Parts: sequence; structure tokens; C-alpha cells
Amino acid sequence: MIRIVAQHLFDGHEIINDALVTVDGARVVGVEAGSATVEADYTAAWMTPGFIDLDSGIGLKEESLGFEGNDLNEATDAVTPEMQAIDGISPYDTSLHKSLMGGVTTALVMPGSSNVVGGRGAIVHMAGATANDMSIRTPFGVKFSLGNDPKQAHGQKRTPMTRMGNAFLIRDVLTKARDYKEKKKEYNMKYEALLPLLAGEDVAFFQALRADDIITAVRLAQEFDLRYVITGAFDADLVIDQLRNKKATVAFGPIIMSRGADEIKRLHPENAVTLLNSGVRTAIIAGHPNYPARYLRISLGLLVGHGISPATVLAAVTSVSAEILGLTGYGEVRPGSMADLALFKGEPWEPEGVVEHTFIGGNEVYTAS
Amino acid sequence: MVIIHGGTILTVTDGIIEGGSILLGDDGRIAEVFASHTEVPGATVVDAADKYVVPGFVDAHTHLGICNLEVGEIGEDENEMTNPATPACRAIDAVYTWDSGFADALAGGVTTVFTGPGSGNVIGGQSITMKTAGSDIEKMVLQDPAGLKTASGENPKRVYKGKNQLPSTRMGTAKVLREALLKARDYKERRAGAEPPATDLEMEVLCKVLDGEIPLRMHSHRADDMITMIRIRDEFGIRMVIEHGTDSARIRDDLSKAGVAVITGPLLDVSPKVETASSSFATPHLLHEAGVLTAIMTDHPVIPIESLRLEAAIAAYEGGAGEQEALEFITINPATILGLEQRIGSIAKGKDADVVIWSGHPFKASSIAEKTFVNGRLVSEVKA
Repeated sequence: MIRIVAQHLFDGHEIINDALVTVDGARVVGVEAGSATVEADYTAAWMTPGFIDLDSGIGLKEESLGFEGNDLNEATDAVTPEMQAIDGISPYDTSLHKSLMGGVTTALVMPGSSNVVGGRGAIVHMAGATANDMSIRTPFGVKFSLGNDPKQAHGQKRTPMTRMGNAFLIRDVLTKARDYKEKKKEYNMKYEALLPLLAGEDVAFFQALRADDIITAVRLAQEFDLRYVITGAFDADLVIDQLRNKKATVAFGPIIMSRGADEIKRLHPENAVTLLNSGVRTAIIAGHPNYPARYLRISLGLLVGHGISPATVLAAVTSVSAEILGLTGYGEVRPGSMADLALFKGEPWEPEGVVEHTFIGGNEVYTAS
Repeated sequence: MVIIHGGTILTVTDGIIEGGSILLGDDGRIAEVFASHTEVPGATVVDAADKYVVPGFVDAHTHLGICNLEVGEIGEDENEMTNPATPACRAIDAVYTWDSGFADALAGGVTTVFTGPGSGNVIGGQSITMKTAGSDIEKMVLQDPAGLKTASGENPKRVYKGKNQLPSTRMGTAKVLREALLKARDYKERRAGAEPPATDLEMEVLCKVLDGEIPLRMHSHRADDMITMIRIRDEFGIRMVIEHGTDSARIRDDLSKAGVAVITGPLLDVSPKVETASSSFATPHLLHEAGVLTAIMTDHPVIPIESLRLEAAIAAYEGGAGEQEALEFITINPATILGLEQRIGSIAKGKDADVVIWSGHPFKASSIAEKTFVNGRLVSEVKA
């Protein structure tokens, strides 16, 4: 049994003052308010569920390595749904431990954005001796990519050369997979990988940055009746009514990133503010390695500065993300939930609020020196 | 005249003043810093009660305006990679002052930048120092040239190995630099003689380096690269500033002994290369402790320029520097490295009136730069 007292506990939904959290084994077994004076194994100014990075390349593109550590994109073909992120994740990526230093405990690792259909993701913890130990659920999610990345990766050699080509390839493979499902002939690995998605058992993650690409993603998802999430979504504020009307889900971010390309030119924290205020279900991502997962927490501070409440921004990296992933018991600190916890010296969204302890499944996986 | 009533004034070089006033003169300089609330008849009043009043930040290593945001390749004028030594290339000819990065700089409280060529060449070209407000480059520039950009390590050898040209090794990189300086030494001698050679633009700028007028601004990540480049510095008795210095903590005592300043960063990213593996927010503090004059850069657009304060904040709280020291990393220290410590980098009488009013401490991510003054003029305003 571990007893932790926090001056402020964000339990995934609201802020509870002077909370006593009791952990037994891998689970949280008790949360009591108004318990500031009890004896505890740990005390913290702030405590939150471990953060979740909802569209990450961690482990697939290893820090400080070039070609040797880059396994993001199997760009030998533009349509590779049969790839699985779990097969490329290195548990030795130094960014994994650094993520723990920033209170990030979980990520949905997805193939990169070079292919229109990149492959299937893996929900993993940021600690574990092997990818198997890290894994929470795999395969999960199908990565789709719209916009310039697939055009750039393939256009000189093969389709797609245009946004029309991007959409065509997605429509084509989904149509063929649907047909394959109805009258199975010869085994086809690509189509097999898409069957759970077509059956509503998996989720499509469309990377779409520009407003027109966001709308294309919604159109494609509707045509095939897919459960879907738009990731990146820098232009989401331009199409906010459409996203709300379609009850879309967005994973916005990273908040901090060089705007050095056409598709990123409108990136501004205020776009995320508009989205969070709109009622559209919204998670905030680091998009590691585009922005270090370790400092996801600080990017949230920019949103607080623009008027979003701390509870809303913290939910956007915990309970909302877990809900999108369908991960029951994650992203919150309630009796019965996984003891994935981050303890902070101060406000988690401020540089000063550094992480002092991080737990995964009740094990202390990071301690500040 | 403008009178700003604080607030908490972080002067950087003269402590923290609670409730004082700062008078910005019509000549663009700070006319007076008052230790207590002081009315000045005729001055426009700016109320900064409950706010933080901070000197404009200085980012001593950027590619602002040279790497245009938003437009991709057509806006990249960073590396003239047609020759590994292009000392005659001048940043001033490539800075697009309408680039949105300048507005970002002001919104992030950055009022002075050093901007220059990239690290694709061993000798990239001449950098400039400039204010971030305005559109007329001639009026914005403070120093031209401010330094000669040079590079060691992975970047130049990757570029030219790809073309099957020299330099494709670290030895080749050192050779290119040494040869250029030796030729310039010869040119300089002949220039002083009876039959001076025809003017050579490349040699002329290298003579400025040999004369100590401008430093080499040396891109170096790995410790051995820094040691090599300091060796060349000493062969020619020239000035040098180390840029990036990712692995500099390992050799901090050597760097201190060599009297070389280091501009660390970019730090708020995922280390992209083998030579940046030891990137750490603790590096600036370790250097400072060892007596090395240290600054922090964004390397914009690598890290967006408005995030300079966040890098300093993390260095303060996670890197061991503390608030005052980390503030110096983005104000008076880079100003000193640039030789502009009499003009910028702190709030003091007679200095340029580059002053930013923050809604809270600038090291809080949630703080907003509400009003930015450059040369005494309000150039950026955000309604809270």
C-alpha cells in the first residue's frame, strides 16, 4: 500500500484539494478529499494521472539516431495498413525515460505520415524491458495521412502526387477491403488489417493539418462509416462548425512547433483554445518527436495563458485521451483506476512545476534526483 | 516620453525593483529608472501594476527572416551549399523583414536577434545583429557583419559527402577553414605591400576575422569538434564563439580556460542527431558554474523564437540555473557575447528602451507579453 497526499489532485475530471490517494498493487484503491494532515509515503503540490500522448512516434524514431534508429515510415509503398508499430518500437529510445520525467506515462505510437495508410498503432507505456512489456494494447488504430507528406514521399515515383491521389488511395483500399470482407478469396494481408476498422472495432487516425484536409478526412470517414480521430488539426478553428456538427474528435498539436511549412503556417495556441471552447471532443498531443513529450505539460501552460481552465487542459492529456483510446481505468485517479501517476512540485503546466515522481501501475518509474 | 509604473521590474543587472518607474526617452533610450513610483509630467503613462517589466530578450543565434516561415523551400536562403566556403555571403541580403517570425519574436518578448547563415558550409557567411521591430532592414540592423558563421561536425561533411566533394570528414572541414585563413593571411600581407592584389570580397571579410574585428561563430556540437576549432582559433589568434555546444559540459573547464563563450541550444526539442545526444537543460548552468560566459538560443526556426523564454525557464527550474542566472542567459549574457552589453540586455539608464511588460513572470508558460517596446516605441500589444 502506498499513501500519497497531494495539495491539489486532478483526478481526470476535477481538482480535489488536500487529497489522499491510496494505491494497492497496480491500482488506485482510495481517493479521499480533505486529508492534508495524514501521514503519507509521498507528498506533492500537484498530482495528476500520467499524461497520454495520443499520436506519437516514440520508440519508432529514436532520439539522437539517424537512419539507424528511424523506423517511422515504410515508404516503399504508399498504402501499408499491414505494418504494425509494435514491431518497430525500441525500448531503448532515450526519449522514453525523458517522457517519464515529464509525467507522460502512455502513448499511442503510430507509424509516420509519409504513407496515406501507414499501418496500425500500439498503445504503450513509457517503461518496460521490451516492446511486449511496454504494450497495453496492440494493434490499435489505423494511421492515415493526408496533405503534403505522402505527396512529398511518393509523388516522384508513384501515386499520390496530389491531394486527390491521397484520397483516392484511401478510398480504393477501403473499398477493396470491404469487398474482400464480403467475398473472401485469397488471403490479403493489407485488407485483413483493415477489417476491424470496417467492423467498427478499430479507430482511424487521420493526420490532417490544413482545413481542407480535415474536411476530406471527415468525408472519407463518413463514406466508410468509420470511427475516427483527426490528428494535428492546426486549422481546426476554421472548420469548427463542421467538426461540431459531425461530432468529430480531434487530437490537436503539438502546440509548440516551427511553422516552417505551408500546412503549419496557421499553428497558434489560440486555435486550440477555439477548439477546446467549442464543445468538440479534443485531446492535446505532443506529437513526439515533433515536440518532446517530456515538455507536453509546458505547452499546456500556453493554453492556460489564453484563458483555458487548468482542469480542461489537464483533461485534454488524460481522461479525454483515454476515452478516445477506449482505455477504461486510464487517464484518471479514481478507485479502481490504474496507478499511472505523476507528482509535481508545482502547477503541472508551468516550467516551475517539475515532476518529482512518476508511477506506472503502482511502480515508481522515475524519481527526481 | 513614456513612463512605465511597475509592477515588478527585473532589471537583470541591478536587482529586482518592486513598484518603481521607468522613463523611456524620445531618443529611444531609457532616460531614468526610479526605485519608487515617480510621476513625470508630460510623459505617457503605462500602468504595469501587478505586471512584470523585463528587458527585451536577446536571441544570439537564429535564422530569423532568412528561413522564411510558411513557404517551404522557396523561402529558405540559409545555406549557399554550392561551395563549402562562402565567406562573402551576407545575411543582410537574405533577411525578409516581413516574415511572421518577427511578430512571433515580439510576442515572445525577443527584441534583438543575431541572424545568419546555416551550418551546411564550413564557412557559411556573414551574420547580422538586428532589432526585431520594423521593416526597413537598414534601420533594424545593429551590427553588419556581426560575425562569420562557420560550422564543424556532422552538417558540412554530410552536405559535401553527398556531393562526393571535400569536406567529407572532420579533417576535411578543418582543412577548409585553415586554408581559407592561411590564404587570407597571405592576402592581407600582400594588401599591405607595394603591389596590392585586386579586391577579393571573400578575403576582405576573412581579414576582418584575422584583425579581430569580428569573431568566428562556430557551430559545434561534439566536444572534440570544439577542441579542434579552438585549436585553429589559437593558430591564428582570432576570436571565436561556440554555437550549440551540446557536449560542452564535458569540457567546461577547458572552455573556461580558453575564454570562449558558448551559446547553448536549441534545447526544447528531441535530439535529432548523434552529435546532439547529450543535449540537456543542465548544460548552461554547468558552463556558467565553470566560468564560461553562456547564453541560450532557439536556433529559430528549429525552435520557434517565441519559446526562448520557455527554454530559459526550464534551464532555471530543471537545469539548476535558478531564475536570475537563467534570465541572464537570454539577456545580458548574449548581449555581452555580441559586444552590445552597453546597449541592450538589461534595464538601466542610457540603454536602448527595449522593455516588455508581461502579465506574470516571463518564466511562467501562462504569462503573456502584453506590451513590447523597442527603442522606446510600443511595437506589439496583446489585449489580456
